[in-house]
Amino acid sequence: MELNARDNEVINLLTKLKNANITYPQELLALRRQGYIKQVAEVSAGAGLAMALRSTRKGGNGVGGAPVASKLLEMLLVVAIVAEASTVAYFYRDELAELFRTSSNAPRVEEISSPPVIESPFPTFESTMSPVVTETTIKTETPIATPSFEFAAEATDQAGGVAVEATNQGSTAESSQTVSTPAPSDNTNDKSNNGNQYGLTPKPERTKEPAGEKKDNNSDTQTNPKKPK
Amino acid sequence: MTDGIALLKAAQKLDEEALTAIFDQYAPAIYKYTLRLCHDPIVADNIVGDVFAQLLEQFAGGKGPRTNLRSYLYQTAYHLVVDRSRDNQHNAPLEVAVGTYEKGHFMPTQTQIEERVIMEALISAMNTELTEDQRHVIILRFLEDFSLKETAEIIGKEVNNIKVIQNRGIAKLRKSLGLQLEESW
Repeated sequence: MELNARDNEVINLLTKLKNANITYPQELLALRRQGYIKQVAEVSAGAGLAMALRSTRKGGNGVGGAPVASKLLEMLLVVAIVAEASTVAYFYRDELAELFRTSSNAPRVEEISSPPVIESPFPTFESTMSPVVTETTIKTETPIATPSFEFAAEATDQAGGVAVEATNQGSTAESSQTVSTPAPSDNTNDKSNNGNQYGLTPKPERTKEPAGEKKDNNSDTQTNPKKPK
Repeated sequence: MTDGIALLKAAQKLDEEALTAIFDQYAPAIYKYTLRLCHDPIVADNIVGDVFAQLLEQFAGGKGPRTNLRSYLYQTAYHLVVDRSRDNQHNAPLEVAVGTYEKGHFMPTQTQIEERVIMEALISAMNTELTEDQRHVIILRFLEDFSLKETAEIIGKEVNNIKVIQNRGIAKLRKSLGLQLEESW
């Protein structure tokens, strides 16, 4: 470490600064010392206690009454443990007996008992089958409805209008069903109507009306045999 | 040295007299050192208390210094100062040291006034120009008279590193004082 002359000047200044009169204020120092001595006393007391404990552990004669007290305490603990163990054994004697039996390899006999019948407190209702079986054959006939509209000639003068009365003759068909499928024919030669009417509904044919004649909105394309022409 | 070792051995056995003697011997020096670092008399006093409390804890736990008690106490103080400065970034000027410099002279001479100006400049440079490491090294080396090895132990660095830090610090102080002295002259 080389320090030149100018560095030495700085070091001299630092040395002078070292001699500066910085003192520990007496009040602060006294308080601090008092606190420190207190700490020292506490630590020394703790250390003394630790030393005593250590010597007791080593020699066993550190404190006079300690061995007698410890022996007494030990005996009390043993008595308490025995009493507790016997109480527990009394309460669980059945389980213990079973345990001993299983450990002594005694032949095992298992009793099988039927499950107990528990009567329910509620009254039981028995349902008996009715002996009479009534057979009902329902014949369903395909309703043959040939709706016919008859225009009543009689004009009822109700509400000042003409009422057209549609009478459904002898059938349960709905009145709105104006075009009904024809009934299947029994004739075997007639294959056009075997009862299966799916897709066989005749398409309405458009009929040309003679010229000059007024178009009737109510007229059907299907020829209704009963419809008066 | 022999007395120091005997004192240390007695303190390790938690002898009250030895522990009190250690306090009386080192507490003022630790206070001075701490005050130079932290610039606050109350903080310095608290750090002194913490230093000796830690020493007691170490002795009670069967630890603590085995050979160099002085170095150990300064090292503890140094770490406490660093911890506190990290916590609150306290950076008050070191007016305390200056104010007590040559206390008791009622009529200062011209030389004393000049010297005081230089000292104030030096303290100011130490506070403002030096890094924390440089300041610690210079205080330990030139104000507390620790050797390079002891300073290295206290700071926790290598001896060569301490040398470098010291030289850089002195160079900074020289430069700063040269400028300030030129201004004052």
